Amino acid sequence: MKNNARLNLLGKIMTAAMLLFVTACSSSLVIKKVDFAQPLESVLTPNSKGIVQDARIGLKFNVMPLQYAETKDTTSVTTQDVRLIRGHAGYYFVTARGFNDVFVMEPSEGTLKLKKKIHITDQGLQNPAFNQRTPYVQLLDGSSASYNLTKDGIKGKEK
Amino acid sequence: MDFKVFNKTKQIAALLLFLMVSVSLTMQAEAQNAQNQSDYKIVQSYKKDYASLSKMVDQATSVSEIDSVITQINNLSSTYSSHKQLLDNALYPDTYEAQLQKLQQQAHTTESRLTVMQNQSQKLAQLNQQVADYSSQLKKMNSTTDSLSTLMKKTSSSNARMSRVIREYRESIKKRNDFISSVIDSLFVTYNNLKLPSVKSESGAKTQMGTNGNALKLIQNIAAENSSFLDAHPTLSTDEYVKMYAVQSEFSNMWNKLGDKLLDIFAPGKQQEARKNVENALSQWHSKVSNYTWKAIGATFKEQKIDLGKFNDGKSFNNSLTGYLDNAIKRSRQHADDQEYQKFQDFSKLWNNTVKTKWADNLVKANVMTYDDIANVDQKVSTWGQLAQPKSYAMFIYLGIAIVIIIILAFMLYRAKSTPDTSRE
Repeated sequence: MKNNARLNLLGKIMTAAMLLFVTACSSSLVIKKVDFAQPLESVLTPNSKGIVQDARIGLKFNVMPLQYAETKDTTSVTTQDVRLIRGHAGYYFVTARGFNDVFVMEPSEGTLKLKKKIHITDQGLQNPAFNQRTPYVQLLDGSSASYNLTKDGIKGKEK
Repeated sequence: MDFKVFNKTKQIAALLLFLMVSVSLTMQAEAQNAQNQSDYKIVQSYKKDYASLSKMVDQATSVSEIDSVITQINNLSSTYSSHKQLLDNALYPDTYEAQLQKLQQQAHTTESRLTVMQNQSQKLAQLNQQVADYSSQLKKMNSTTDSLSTLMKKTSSSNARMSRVIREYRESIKKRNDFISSVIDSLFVTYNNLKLPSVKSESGAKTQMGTNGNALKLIQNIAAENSSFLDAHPTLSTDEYVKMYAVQSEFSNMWNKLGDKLLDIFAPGKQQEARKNVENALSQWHSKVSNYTWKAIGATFKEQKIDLGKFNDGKSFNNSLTGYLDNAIKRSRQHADDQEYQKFQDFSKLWNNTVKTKWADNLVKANVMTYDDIANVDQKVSTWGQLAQPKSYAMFIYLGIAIVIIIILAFMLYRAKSTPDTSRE
């Protein structure tokens, strides 16, 4: 009886060791402290279908979901120049003239997933522009308004 | 009193404080403004300025213009130097400094090119002035020669006066020929050194060319005036005709070498027509001067009773000379006498004193004879001279007389020795 219990315990320990070994062997390679910061924002004009493309950085997507989120209208492409910049952590900050918010988008396999919608104004941005100011992304609206953004919101107002 | 002073000091201090706060606020606002500039806008603005300056460099047409562009490039450099890092990132794989350096280099290359063009243009303007001066000087010379010719025809009274007029006339023709030679040298040296592409592209250069300083017109005029001059003065000396033949030949050579360049400068788009005009004028001049020269040379030989036969160009003249000399040598070999020797002396005098000393260089310049041809004729003249001299018998007579005298003297001496002395006995 005692022997059976011992054998049982030994079996469990071996199974655990095997699992640990397999897990250790299958762990992926990770490079840390990667800086994704895009030095200069991209200013992209949507085509008739709402597609924007930046061949330089290799990015192409449809802005209509963002337009819908802002205006609840997708009958036609009303978004003018889309301003886009990638922060040092790898998130894309996207906005456009007339938008009230900056969309922080997280790239993953074939998708851009909303990480955070940062509300800037209720009147719509008049003349938005992004600057890379690591560790922040600076949002300007004309020459007067300036905001330091992180993936979590406006610096000092992050939630 | 003290209270008043204290009050005033307080006011000044308040004013100073206000000023300091204002300046500080302004500086802060400016700093804020600078910080609130869009990087994208800065890059776009730089690209626009750069493209605009690059275009200005390409389109600059004068040294002052390119100098102004260079100043603007320097300003661009100082305006954007604080954004170097941003621009390096935006312009990758190019860099801000590399772009600026490239633009500055382009501007300096353009500046050097335009400086050369400006100098060429100034040089061309000077040349045009020179050509205009030549035209008027040639006209003046023609008029002097014409007046002297007229005067010569009218003057028959005083021998002294006549000889003075003739001397002046000859002098004016010589001056005229020398002048045309100097025009050839001048045109050749100056236009040959001119860099045509830069002159052609220089704005304004063509307008200067259409005026008085048109070298094509000058060449055409010189050719036409010389043709008329030859018709108007049919009794020039052979020396003068030969000299004019040489001048014409040099002129044609100059045209063959410079013609294309001059046509490009002075007749853009009408080269074919202009070439035809100039070449017709030159051909007419050549035909006249050649005709007059060969006639005059033939007449000069005939004056010395030397019949060379007919000739009308360099080759036939050379053939006539060698043919005449070969015959003379053959004659002298067979029978040398005083008459033959006299013929040789006449020919030799003309050949050595006139042809070789006065005409040879010009005949060579006129491409009608070479120095080898002259040396060949010279050798034949020398051979003829040796054979033409009549043989003398005086030497034999003198030798015979001398032998007879010696024999007589020897006989007398023998007789004197062999006769016995009777006086001692």
